[in-house]
Amino acid sequence: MAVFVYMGQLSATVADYLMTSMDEISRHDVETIEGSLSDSYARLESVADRLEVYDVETVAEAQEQLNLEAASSPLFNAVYLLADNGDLYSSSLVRLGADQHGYDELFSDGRERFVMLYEEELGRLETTKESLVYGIRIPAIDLGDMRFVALLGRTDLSSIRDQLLIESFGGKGVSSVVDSSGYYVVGSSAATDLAGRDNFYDMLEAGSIEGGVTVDDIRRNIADGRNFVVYCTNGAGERLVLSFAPVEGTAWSFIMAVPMEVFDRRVAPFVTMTAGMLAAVVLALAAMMLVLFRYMKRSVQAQAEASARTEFLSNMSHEIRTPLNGIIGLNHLMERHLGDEAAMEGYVRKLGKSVNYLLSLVNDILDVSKLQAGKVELAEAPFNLAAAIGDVCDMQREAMDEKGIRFHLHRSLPHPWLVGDEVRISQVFVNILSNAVKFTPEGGSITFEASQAEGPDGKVRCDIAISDTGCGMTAEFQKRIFDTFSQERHTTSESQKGTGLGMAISQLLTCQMGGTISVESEVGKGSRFSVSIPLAVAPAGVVRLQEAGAAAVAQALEAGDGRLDEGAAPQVEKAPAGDRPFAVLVAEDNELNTEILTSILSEEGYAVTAAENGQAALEAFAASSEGHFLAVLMDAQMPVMDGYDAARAIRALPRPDAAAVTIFACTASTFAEDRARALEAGMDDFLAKPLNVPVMLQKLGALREGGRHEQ
Amino acid sequence: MNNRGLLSRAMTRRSALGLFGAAALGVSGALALPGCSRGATRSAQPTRLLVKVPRTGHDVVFDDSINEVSQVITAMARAFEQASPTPVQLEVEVFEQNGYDSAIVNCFDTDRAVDILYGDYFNMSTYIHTGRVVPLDDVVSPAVRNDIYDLLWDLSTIEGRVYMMPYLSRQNVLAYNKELMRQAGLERFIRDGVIQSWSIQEWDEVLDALAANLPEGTYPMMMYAAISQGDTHIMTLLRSQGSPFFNDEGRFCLSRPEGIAALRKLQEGVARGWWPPHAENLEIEDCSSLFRNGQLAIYMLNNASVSRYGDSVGLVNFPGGVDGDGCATMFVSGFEVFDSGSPEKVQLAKDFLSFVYNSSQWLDYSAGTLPASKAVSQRHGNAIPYYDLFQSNSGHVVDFTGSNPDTRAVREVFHQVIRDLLKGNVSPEEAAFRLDEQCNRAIDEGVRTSTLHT
Repeated sequence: MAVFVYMGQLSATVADYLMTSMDEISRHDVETIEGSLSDSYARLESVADRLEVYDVETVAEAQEQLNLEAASSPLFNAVYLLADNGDLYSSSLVRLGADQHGYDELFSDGRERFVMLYEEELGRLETTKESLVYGIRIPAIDLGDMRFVALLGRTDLSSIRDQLLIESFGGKGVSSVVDSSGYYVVGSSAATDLAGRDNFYDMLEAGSIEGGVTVDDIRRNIADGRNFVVYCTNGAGERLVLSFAPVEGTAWSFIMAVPMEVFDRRVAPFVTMTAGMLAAVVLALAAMMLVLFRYMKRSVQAQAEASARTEFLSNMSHEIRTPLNGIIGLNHLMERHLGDEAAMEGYVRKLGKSVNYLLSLVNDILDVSKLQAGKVELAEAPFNLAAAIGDVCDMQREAMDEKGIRFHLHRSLPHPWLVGDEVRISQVFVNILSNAVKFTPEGGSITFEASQAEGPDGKVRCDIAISDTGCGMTAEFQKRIFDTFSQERHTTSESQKGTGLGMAISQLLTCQMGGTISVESEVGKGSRFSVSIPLAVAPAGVVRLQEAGAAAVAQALEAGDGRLDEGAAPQVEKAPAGDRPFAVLVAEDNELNTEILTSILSEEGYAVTAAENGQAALEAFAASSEGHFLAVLMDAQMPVMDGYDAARAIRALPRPDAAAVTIFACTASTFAEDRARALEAGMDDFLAKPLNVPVMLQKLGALREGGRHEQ
Repeated sequence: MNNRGLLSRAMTRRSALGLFGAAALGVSGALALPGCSRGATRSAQPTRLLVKVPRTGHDVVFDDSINEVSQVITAMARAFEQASPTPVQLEVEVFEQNGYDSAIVNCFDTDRAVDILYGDYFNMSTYIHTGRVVPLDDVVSPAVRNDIYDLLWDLSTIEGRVYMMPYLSRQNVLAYNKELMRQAGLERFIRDGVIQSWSIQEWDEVLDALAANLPEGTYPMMMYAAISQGDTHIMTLLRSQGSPFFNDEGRFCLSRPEGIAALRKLQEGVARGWWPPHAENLEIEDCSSLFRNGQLAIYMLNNASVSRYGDSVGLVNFPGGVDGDGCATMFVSGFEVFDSGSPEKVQLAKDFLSFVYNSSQWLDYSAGTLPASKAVSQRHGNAIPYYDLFQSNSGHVVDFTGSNPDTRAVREVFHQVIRDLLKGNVSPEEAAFRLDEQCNRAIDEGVRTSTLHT
């Protein structure tokens, strides 16, 4: 609405501007014409002045003189002397009696001068062409018995029309001058003959005038010498704006005719500009709104993130303190019941659970932190999805069997060999499947479906759906299930206890892999998690190689960072005693850890040599006899010399067992890059802290049984 | 329906609607023409032809509604549009007599280029030499050729091909004011019902008597040289001493004794008071006004304009001629077809002319002055004022064009030399030399640059 009002006002302003332009042009043209008329009068006066100077005594002599004046005049085709008795004598020697013309009557009202379009009705002069007749009253000239009182001049209109015809508005606007009869004094008409001249009123009659104005109104206004404007349509259907202005000293009206099209065209650029400006303003506003929106979104997001961080820290604190509290409490109880073996056994068992929980919690927290920080680098390696699923299911098989859960696995995987991060993908499946196991009551069922479809960019979209007949989730919780520390605590069952980070990790991992994860659930009926991950198909050559070494790969995977193994720790068997104890070099700057390790290993029949830093470990190894140490457990971060340098130094020793001895990195830095760094330093394997004792013993046992450790 | 009967009624009634009745008549007549099919399909976009006509007064003996020749051309155009089997639309544009250049030459190769021009041969002949005017021999059927006076075909033909179609002509002779002749004691020269031919001596006698006896402000004979308009009459006066004006090659030959003698007469006439004072500053319009106002005894009239003066004037041929028995001039008007680059338009333009020249009705509309058609002359000669008088004088007609390919260039030279002669700035010999030299140069240039459409 505002735009239309604005456009209307703009059009009106432009129209006013054009009308002002028309006025200015009209004034200029009228001044030009009036100036031309004044010049013509002045020329006639000069002729009169010269007549007085010439020594003419007869009318014939005067006519001959006028003949020469006309011949030499650039303006007049003929000049006439008007006698007081009405006789008219021309420069072309024609003599008209008073009864043959009416030009003397033009002075009857006392006027001093006149100009008019030549009209044969007023007296036929020596032309048939359109002409102007000027007249001035002169001081009386007496020739014989004749007294001359006025001088007339006749000008062929075609000779001056071009000078007076002024175009404007790029040739569209045409100026003209009409006399009171409507005949053109100046106009675009090509007619130069009286018989062919056009009439302005005829043009008006052929068209129509707007606003109820009649031709007679215009005729009257012109006769009254008024300035006015009319809008009309001519006979050709062209709409015109006509501006009228009187020419002083005449009965003429100057007319500026401008087609409405000119107005429209003049307005059009403004309309375009205005539209452009409006569009620019809208765009600018939109951009500002967008910036504002993004800023606010960022602000809200930042607030949310801050809030989430706070909540996360609070949750983390709570979650960590809870098992710690249990550990502290158990510690207290154990101190008080040292002698009660039965009670101690219970406390120790509970202590183990708390510790394991705390470990998984720390692992998950670290995963979430790295995922949220975008610092998790996904591996791009060939793997067998079908096998990975099988492994995941196998891990949960025992738990499902314990609860009598019916498990259904449907795999339709035309492309089992894919390229991706098998560990992380398996982690997602484990999280979901373990949840399903947790929340599915005894006798329930779980269905694992895996299928593939064509995905984007030539990849395969792997669709995994894990359905259970568990307790289900409320709609409200479904919205938060992928948030950190989200657990629907409708139960306090120990068996259902978790960190509340598994699904958050699953979602973050899935997203990072370019996939999606969603859940459909109904309280009391169960849940269905759907995971969709696009993965590239492994090249055929790679597949053959992998299939050939599938067992080795599976073994290698199993020997990863150990996390996957945590839920299914291998059975620990005591190391068989040999002829001599296998020696293990433990490089650890923490005395307690050294003591614990020493105790554990000693109990397992290993001879432990402890070193408080890397330098000491290097020296101990160097000082040992060749082949003395079965393995080295090397802490990473130690004073004097860290574990990495120490490993390199050992490997660099000039003795055969320096390269052969198995060096385990034992560090709380458990990320992939830490693992890579350890391997790069020459270490053979990786044992994350806190140590998974059974795993450690199993690996050492394998060394003891098979010699050199193979990762 | 009898077309002739309708025409007769139109002639009898002399009504203002006569032309439109005749136009309708033309349609019905045209429908019977060979090649004009009533059942023609008219749904196609019509071909547009532009007909240009100078504003020219024209009377028709049987139709009082006609006062301009453009009315006749427009009616012909409308009738042809209806009759043509090919959809065609003719726009008739009227221009001023002094606007030939802007109407024709300046519009070449524009969307306002002329297709058909009706005008005076005097002006039209120049365009033939531009190569844009197509020959019309295929329009001139034996019947048409036989119906047009041979003299007019001669004026329409260049190098054996017809480039203009004559429609009518006007014959110019001199007219004298009987009253002024009487005042000068020249009653014996006044004769009614004839176009006299005075001898050189008689002319001298008449002019001297007029100069001596006319009252102050009244002059014996027309003379003017301010502009070129009307200069053909002055050219004709240069035949007064027996000069043929043009030699056999169509070049000026005024340097011969007869030509120089005629120029001398013009110059002597100033001193002898034959011409109005300072005639070099006068135009033909001035002389016309003087004659009309009774201030000029002898002036030029043609068979159409003489009737305005009724019994107050007598007629006499221009003095001299090769045989010394007086001269008359003739102005022919007719059609030209221009090649605008469209063979279709050229053919339609020719069809239009065929339509007109095979229609007795449209030829009849030339009956106001001297028709080019013998049949029209026969049908309407009795009704055309002074028809017999001027027709019988046709033997005195001289060709003032000399097949000049560039009449405008010649005219620019001619009036200025005459002006200098009248002012006494040049001798008759010098004037003759300048005229021959400059005018022939213009003619030669016109011939050199002439290109005829084939």
